[in-house]
Amino acid sequence: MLKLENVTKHFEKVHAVQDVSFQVSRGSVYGLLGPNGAGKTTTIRMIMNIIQPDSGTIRIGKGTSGTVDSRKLGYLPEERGLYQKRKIREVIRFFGQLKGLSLKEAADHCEIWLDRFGMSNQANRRISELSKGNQQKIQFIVASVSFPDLLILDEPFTGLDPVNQMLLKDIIREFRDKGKTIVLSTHQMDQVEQLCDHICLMNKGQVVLEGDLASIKEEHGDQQIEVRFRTRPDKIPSELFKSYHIQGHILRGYLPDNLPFKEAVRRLTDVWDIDGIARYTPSLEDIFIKRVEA
Amino acid sequence: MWQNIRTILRWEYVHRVRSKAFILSIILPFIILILAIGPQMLAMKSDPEPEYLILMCPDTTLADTLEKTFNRKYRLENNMPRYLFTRQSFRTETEKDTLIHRLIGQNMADAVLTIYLSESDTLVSEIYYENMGPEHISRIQSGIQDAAESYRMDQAGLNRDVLAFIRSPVKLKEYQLTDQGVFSGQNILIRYMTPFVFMFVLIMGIITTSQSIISSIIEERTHKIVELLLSSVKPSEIMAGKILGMGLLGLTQIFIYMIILYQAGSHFLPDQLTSGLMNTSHLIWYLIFFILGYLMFSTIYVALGSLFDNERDAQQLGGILSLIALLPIYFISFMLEHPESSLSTILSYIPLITPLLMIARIGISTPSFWSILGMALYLVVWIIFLIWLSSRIFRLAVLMYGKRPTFQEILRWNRSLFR
Repeated sequence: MLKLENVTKHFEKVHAVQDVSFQVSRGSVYGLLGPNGAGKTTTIRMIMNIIQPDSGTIRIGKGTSGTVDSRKLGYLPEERGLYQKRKIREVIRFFGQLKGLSLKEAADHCEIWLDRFGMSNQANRRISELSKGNQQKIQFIVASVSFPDLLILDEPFTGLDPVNQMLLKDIIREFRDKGKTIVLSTHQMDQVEQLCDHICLMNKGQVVLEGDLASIKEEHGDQQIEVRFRTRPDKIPSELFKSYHIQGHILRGYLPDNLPFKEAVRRLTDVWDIDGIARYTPSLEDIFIKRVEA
Repeated sequence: MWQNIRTILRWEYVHRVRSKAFILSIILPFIILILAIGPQMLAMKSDPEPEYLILMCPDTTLADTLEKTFNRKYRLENNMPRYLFTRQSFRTETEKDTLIHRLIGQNMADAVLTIYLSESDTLVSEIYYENMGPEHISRIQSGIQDAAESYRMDQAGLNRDVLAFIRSPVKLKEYQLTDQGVFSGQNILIRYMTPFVFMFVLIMGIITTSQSIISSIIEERTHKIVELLLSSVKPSEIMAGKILGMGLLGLTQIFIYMIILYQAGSHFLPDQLTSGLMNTSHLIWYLIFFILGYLMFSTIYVALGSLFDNERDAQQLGGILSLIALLPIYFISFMLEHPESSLSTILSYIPLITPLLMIARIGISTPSFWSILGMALYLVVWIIFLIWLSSRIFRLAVLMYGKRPTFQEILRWNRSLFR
């Protein structure tokens, strides 16, 4: 559905995006992660044809960025804003028409979405009269009013209470189940773990990690180990761990790359009185911090 | 493309034309006009009272002539004399001064007028008052002059009818021979007035709507909607839709003004004049250059408005930019004197001045059809170029949220625009 190949963008002397490549398949939720200034927003803007890459190609479906029917693309930008003095219904219809819907289609879609978010009774209120959370909902409706094939959401959960976060997650899953593709850019790692099938971690304009989320976690958990001691040892042999830290009777650490997990278990049980040993599965946040700090 | 432009045009136009601000912008100038000239007109209508003047003139013949002249020359609407005289004699200069102070101090007259022959045989007149408007003083001055002439003619034994005959004015009849035919008398006046009416309304329209054009263009940046818009439509479509929408709004406002002015004109001015204004052979060209001129200024405001992202900066800018609309006025007098000179032709090519000067040139000297058409197309090209330029700035503005670009940044943008 979406394929970026060697995409690069410079601003003056700043390398905002360097040689970025990734691919998002149809009917999936793809997480685009990275610290502030990693190049996520610039990448998204290039996908949406708001700015052009210096080099590389961006393919959306069978076309390229800029040639695709805007009706098939939806975008919730990080910089939120709506026409504050206009009525909710007017704003949604306006953006629906800009997406290529006819006046009637825009009106019909508007009512479907307002109903879905339980806001039909507020349709004639001005945007400025809404709470921040409700404005956020309208912002999401505006992005998805045309039921696009590719929906890009930049920090979609900001400003939403837990109930509405749940509602939004349900809607994202419904989109995915209908074969739509969602690119989700967020700092909230728990949301990514709940929603995304694949992720791309960017740092300093480059892709530092990309692929299937489960595999990434598996891969990054391999050499991590959690040991529960019955009695806390006085000394830890340094050849068994690349690094570690002990909290009470629990040790968490990384095994050396050349030491297989089974061999490590054998050597540990030979030396100490141990309650249990487990491979430690890192959270996405752990992986994020580790890779970014690296 | 056209669908998006139409959607944005409708979005800009429909909402604003229904707004209270627009209705107020139609009504307010007329309320201000009524407040400005209403009291004066009321005062003129409700002034049947004559002014009481006390005349101190030792020469009875001169006093008679003065009264007769004033009675003939100045009448109220109810045909009563505007100035009523009471004569007052005096013996000495000291008594005269005492009398004047008493008469004015006790409000026994609006003014005391003295007139006498000096030792060198010249007439000397003085007026004393507590409160008297300058228009009265001006009338009294003129009346005394007329009375003095009559008095001196009688003294010299001259026949007044002979002098009136000598002084009778010569009428100069004008005939303007053009490709459209011969124009004479009031028709020439109409030919000159019509372009001026269009120029005046165009300048007024530009000044009154410049602020709302700028506000409209920065609305997306103020409310951070630029990125959302750009994800659906091209910047050039946004710009074209906005310019046409705001242009249509401004033209609606101006045409309402013109209808009201035309109606008022047909009520107060001679029928031939007002119907002539709307029936000149160049009316279509005036309208075309009027619309192009309005769009031209709208695009300039839009291009410059794209550089700003908050209301305060835009208000400062709006004030300065309104002066641009007045720029052509400096060249108009030269154009009127030398409509077909090289300088006039060169000035016509400055796009800010083109619409107004072309309206003036068409009214005064009637350039050839192809020359007028060429200038109209020249303006269209400029408008398209400015839409393109402002759309580029608007697109780059997405990278500059919350920041006013420096001059160096604008130059760098320009380099990237033309790369």
